[in-house]
Amino acid sequence: MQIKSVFRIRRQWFRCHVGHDVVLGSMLTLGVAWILALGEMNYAAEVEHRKESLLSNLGLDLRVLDARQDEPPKVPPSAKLQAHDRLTLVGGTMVERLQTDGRLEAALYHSLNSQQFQIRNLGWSGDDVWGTARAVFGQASDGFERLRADLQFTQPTVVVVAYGANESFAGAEGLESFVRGLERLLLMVKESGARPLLVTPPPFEDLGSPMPSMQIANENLAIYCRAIREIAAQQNLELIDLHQRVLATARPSESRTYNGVHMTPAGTAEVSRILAEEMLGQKIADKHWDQLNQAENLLGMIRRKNEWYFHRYRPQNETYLFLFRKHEQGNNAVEIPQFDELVNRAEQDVRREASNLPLK
Amino acid sequence: MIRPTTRSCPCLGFYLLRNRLGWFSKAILIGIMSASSLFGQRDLQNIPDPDPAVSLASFALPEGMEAKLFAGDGQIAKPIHMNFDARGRLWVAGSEVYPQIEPGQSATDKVFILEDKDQDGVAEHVIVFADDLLVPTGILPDENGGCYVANSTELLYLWDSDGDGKADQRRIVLSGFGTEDTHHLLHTLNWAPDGSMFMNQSIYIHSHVETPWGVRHMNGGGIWRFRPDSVELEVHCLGFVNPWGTIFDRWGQSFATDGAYGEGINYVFPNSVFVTSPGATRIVGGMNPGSPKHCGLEMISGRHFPTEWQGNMIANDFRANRVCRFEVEPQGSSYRSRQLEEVIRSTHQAFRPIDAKMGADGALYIADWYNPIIQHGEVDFRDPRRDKQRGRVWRLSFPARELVKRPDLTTMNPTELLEQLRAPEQSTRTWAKRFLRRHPKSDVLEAISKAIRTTQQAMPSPVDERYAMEQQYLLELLWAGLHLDHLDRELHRELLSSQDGRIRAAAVRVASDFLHRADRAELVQVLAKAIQDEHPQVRLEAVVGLRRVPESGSATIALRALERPVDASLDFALWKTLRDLGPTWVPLAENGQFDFGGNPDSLTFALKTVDSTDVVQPLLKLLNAESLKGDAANSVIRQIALTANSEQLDQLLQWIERQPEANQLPWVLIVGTEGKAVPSARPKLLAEQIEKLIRDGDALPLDTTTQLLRTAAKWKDPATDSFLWQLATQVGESQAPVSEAAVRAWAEMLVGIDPESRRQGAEQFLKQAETWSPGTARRRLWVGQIARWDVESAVPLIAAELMSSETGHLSQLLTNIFEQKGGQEALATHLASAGIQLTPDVAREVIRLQRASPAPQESLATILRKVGQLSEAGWKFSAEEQVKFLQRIAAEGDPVAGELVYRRNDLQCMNCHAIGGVGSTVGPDMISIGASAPVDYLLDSLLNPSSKVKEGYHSKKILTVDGLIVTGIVQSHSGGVYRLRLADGSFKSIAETEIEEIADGSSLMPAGLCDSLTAKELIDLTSFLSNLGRTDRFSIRSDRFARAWQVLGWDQPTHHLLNRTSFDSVTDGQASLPWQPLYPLVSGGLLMQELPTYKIHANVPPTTFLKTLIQVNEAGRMELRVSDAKGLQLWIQGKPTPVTGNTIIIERPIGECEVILAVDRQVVAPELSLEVMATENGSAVFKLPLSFQ
Repeated sequence: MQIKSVFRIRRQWFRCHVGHDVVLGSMLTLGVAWILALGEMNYAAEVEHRKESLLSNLGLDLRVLDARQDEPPKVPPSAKLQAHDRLTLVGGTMVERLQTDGRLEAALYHSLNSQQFQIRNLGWSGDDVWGTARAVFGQASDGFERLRADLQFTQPTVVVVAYGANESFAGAEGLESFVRGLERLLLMVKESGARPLLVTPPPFEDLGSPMPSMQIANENLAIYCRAIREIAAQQNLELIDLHQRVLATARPSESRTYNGVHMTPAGTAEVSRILAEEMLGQKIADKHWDQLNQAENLLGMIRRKNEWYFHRYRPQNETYLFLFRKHEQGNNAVEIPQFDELVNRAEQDVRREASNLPLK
Repeated sequence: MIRPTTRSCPCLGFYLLRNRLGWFSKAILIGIMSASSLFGQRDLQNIPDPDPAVSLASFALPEGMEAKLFAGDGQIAKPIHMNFDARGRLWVAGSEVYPQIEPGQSATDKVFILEDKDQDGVAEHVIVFADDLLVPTGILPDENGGCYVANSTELLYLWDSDGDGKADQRRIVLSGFGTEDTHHLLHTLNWAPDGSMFMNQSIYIHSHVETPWGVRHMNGGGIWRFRPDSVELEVHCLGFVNPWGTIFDRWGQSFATDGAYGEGINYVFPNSVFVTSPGATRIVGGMNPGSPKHCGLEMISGRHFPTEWQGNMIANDFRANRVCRFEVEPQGSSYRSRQLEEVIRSTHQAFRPIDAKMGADGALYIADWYNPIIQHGEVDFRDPRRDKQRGRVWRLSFPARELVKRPDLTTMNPTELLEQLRAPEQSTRTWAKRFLRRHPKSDVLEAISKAIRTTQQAMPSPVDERYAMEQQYLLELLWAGLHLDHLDRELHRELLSSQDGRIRAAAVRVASDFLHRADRAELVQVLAKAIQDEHPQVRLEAVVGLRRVPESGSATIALRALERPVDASLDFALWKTLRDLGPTWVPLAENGQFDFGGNPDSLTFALKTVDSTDVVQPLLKLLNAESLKGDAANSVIRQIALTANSEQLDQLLQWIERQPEANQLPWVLIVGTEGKAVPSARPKLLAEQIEKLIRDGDALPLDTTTQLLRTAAKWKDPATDSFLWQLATQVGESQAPVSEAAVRAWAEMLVGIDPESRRQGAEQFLKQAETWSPGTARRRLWVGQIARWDVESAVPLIAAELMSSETGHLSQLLTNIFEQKGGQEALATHLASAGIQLTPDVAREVIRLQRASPAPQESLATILRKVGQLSEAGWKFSAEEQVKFLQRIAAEGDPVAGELVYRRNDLQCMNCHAIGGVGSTVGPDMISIGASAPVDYLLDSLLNPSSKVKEGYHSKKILTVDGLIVTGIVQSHSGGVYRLRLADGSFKSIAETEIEEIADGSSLMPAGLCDSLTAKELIDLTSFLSNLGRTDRFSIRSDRFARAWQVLGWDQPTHHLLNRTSFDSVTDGQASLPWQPLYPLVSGGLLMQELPTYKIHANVPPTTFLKTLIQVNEAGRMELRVSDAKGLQLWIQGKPTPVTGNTIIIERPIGECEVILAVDRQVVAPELSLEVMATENGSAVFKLPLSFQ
């Protein structure tokens, strides 16, 4: 009944053709998009009403999710990850570059060593809560749908959501739109059956002329971080306040960033360690951290796994393999799923190497 | 009775059935260039000889030039991009992974450094600097021994920290570049004269790049400007298909080439927009229309090359295996470019020149990707013919001339480096400036100040010829400071008032690039002065610079450019700047508070740049207040119609009603055709006005009436009901076109109204339709409409008509059912189940119409063949048959005969495809198709047009909310409206709100076009296509031939006119005459036998009239050379001019010059051509247009 009403709403408002391929997912997106559109028109009361009816449409999924969350925790409550979790990371350049660094993953694979534990990094440079960078030929909404599909493919139990830095350049004016975008994204993460783990962006760094002064940018960033914290509190979500943690740490002798926004190896190490400690719910001793940093074999295997996965979720030549020129090279699209086996094998190597790594 | 011609070829072991299918007007040929791995394998034996000596032997070079293999197979592999460093070493990025990494394959692509230590012109020393890259497509060394590399999604910086010659350090400088297509990735990195880095990307790439200044986006092609020190990244220009070449001239102006688009050298000013940029509603064109596919770009500079080469631009036509040369000169605010004789012409089909760079020794180096396969998507990624190992760099020099001695910049102090900025070699100047960065900033700035003082003290007077050179030196010094982020304000001010316009333009560019953050007030002052500069290029720079200051005052300043002459580039720049600044001034304009300088023309110009209802009120106010005339009024009305809502359109129509009657008709037509036809925008008064115009206009020409009725159809206005019905049911034969248009309009109206009224209307319509006799045109028309609203009821009626109709007029009956969602399926089901039999001829016509429809369903064609008792139609080959057919093409193909097949009216290839820019633009230009596509691909594309489709020719299939399917190529998508180009060359706009579904379509070229060709004709046609751009006779090598032609078609009124008057009346432009487009042969000649003649008296020979155009840009003399002077009469701009021999000298002022020839067909040779050449003294500067638009 309720599903029917969503169909009706959709037909009426969007005059969209409902084909046989319509799935619940796209209904929900449109529903959410519609709510957002209404929100923009300031129909606040209407929004509340629709939110409720939409969520009740989702009832089944949410109950499943709730049941999972109700399981008694097996590790100290401060730990945000467990050995049977499947972790997926989403975000912009900072997240994307963790793929080729590997130290965060080394710490996690070492501590959470099990056949279930997996990490998939869906970072995408330039991305934001709306999916702008993933849109390829389409609109941001297409990018958002792509993220949904990619996320579902990784079957996550936990999703690190690390956005806010790119959006913050829009200043206070853009905040409301960001909050709505983040809420929509969090809803999508929950729909994927995973629990979101919010991460605030680290502060920008002022490197002096000719680099820009980051003072105003940092003031704006602080507002966005506050919003992320508020959402975490309202929705009772786990949060790693990376922004606060980095601010609280003394500025290192080396710059954290190359250009005010992107991490140097030193900055990445600092961020990775904070993230790892927060996720594991425990401090990592300096000497253990150093050993992880020097575990070249393990780090290499992690990078290899991530390289295969990069070709899986962002294959080159998509135009010809999957999009409007697939009539030319679509036959070669069969190669892309072949990366799955490579990723799995590489991950087995990572697990084995991580379990063999003695930290003294 | 079927008459299939059965052609058996027992000797070749295959057997083809051919049906003599009729032809139809939309016959077109799109989608050339196709492949299949199957053909690929078969063609393996055709791989050319890879011995470099064979390549070298194939080169035809200019006199005195020598080519040498600088580096070759084994030393480098698959070079893609290259750049020299300060020490004269050549850095090359190459990819063996391209086009697509295989699962499990490592990214092992390389950067090579090639060094010729003993300076013998051959690289003996090769370093693999990096070997862990993924399809690197751009390489740019810096002054510190490192290099920037475009590496798929990233821009990397690699350097060698331990001095072993290999990169051991890597930093990601920027990331987020798209990889939707690996031959479009970030590429073409180069240093600009002010120390910025420019980088290009191509059509399918979507980049989103984080910087400390915010995220920067570029969707589609374009050129980035990047400052590595401050990490400022911005868009320099947008568009292009595949722009693999960018260079700067001595004044910092930039030019680009495109490896996939056909306009030669492009002048690229800041904020310009070129072809294919998503959402662009207006673009700038290139300077050599009809000159396609140029990859890489270099400008000849330096002492090794002869004087006449200096400043020439070099670009590679990799498809036709040649290296091309252009001469580029300033013209107004832009440039003009002329293609010269090639630098290299080769017959070696794997010679693929893709980059060109001047070396430190003054020679020219050409990167040769060496590959028999050049297509990207069209050829299978895993096609074994793709060469993965080879690659060459060729060195071109003049052995009789001295080489340039390389200055050792590494040991020079700042003062010595600054001296190098006088070097004629551009690369020396580039590297000298970069090397300044290795010295302490204070030392450098001090040296610069000193150099400035010395130069200023010795500055010659502006009339002295050395003045320009000294000013250029000062400009170099200004740029040198910018390499260290220092702007010498005093020098800058001085250059802003240089006596040399090009120096002032460069100084204005520096102002807008470097003052917009540092000193905005100063910038505004500079631009406000420059906007009134006497040099058009300075005004252009001022206009584009104003985009940097987003205030309404900037728009006010920009509009002052209209006080002086505005040429095409300036007009675009002004349009773009005002459009970009729209948010600052439009709100003011709405309230009448925008300061447009008091000139209503300026306000009109400004308002027309914005597509928004916000500007409608000010535009209406303009119409009311000003007495706009002619084109000015038309364009304002058009602009209002494009953007207005229904209320605003009514206001406009009310205004139109108050105008003189003669104006009302054209203006109502503009409103009717341009308005966004959605119910919410439907003006209340339109129906009334249309009705009034038709009722009152007794003397309206038929086509005007039908045009008005088509407008009524578009708006689906119920208010037109009774009026249309009356016209639709009138019976007079003379009014047939009007009643036909009225029936269609009425049917559309019915589709648009509420269901109950539609039910009633449908009943009324059906009843009326049944009163017309079966088998008549009127019955077919009426029955044909029913499918628009009721496919089910329409199908049996249509089937009955098909059984009682003759061939030749079935489109009226079938267009709607074919274009309606589900229509073809319903007809197929009915034909299959109702036991209907059709005559073979009717079935053939139906199949032909169905194939040309927007979404042909094969099931219907199959049923039609059955009910029409037709055998399997068309050409189909088994793999084995195809091999043999290809052998026949090679052995027997006659390209000369094939060109005649190509030009046949029934095939109508020319209705959709141009050759070298001459002809229609519906499909891709065929100019170099033979050089780029193997024969098997050509044949496959002729027979299966949709198997591969060229970039930019992918159609969209749109289903509208009322069930209509429309297929076309998206021309623009903005303001909520898609504008499509349809297969017949016409345009259709569809509002987003009227779209139910949008999907990717296939080729616009219908299948089955070649079905009626004999084997010999198909062999010759394929042979002709495969020769295009590959052999001399079928290449357009010279731009001297007049190519835009019209021929006077025959009609009775013109015959009368000529009979009563004289030939002069063809030339005086008074009468409206039936001139028709005429396409010359590829060789430039006109085939006289194809052309209509006039025989006006018994004693006057049969005569053909021809017309062409010359665009004169600078007054002077020209030499016209005709291939045959016998029996010719000539008029130049209406003035009779004696034909004294094959060569005629004429003298013309600036402007268009119309050339008309009267040709006595009894004496003239079968082929006629006209060349226009510069004269030795006092020559005009002119251009031969490719079309009459």
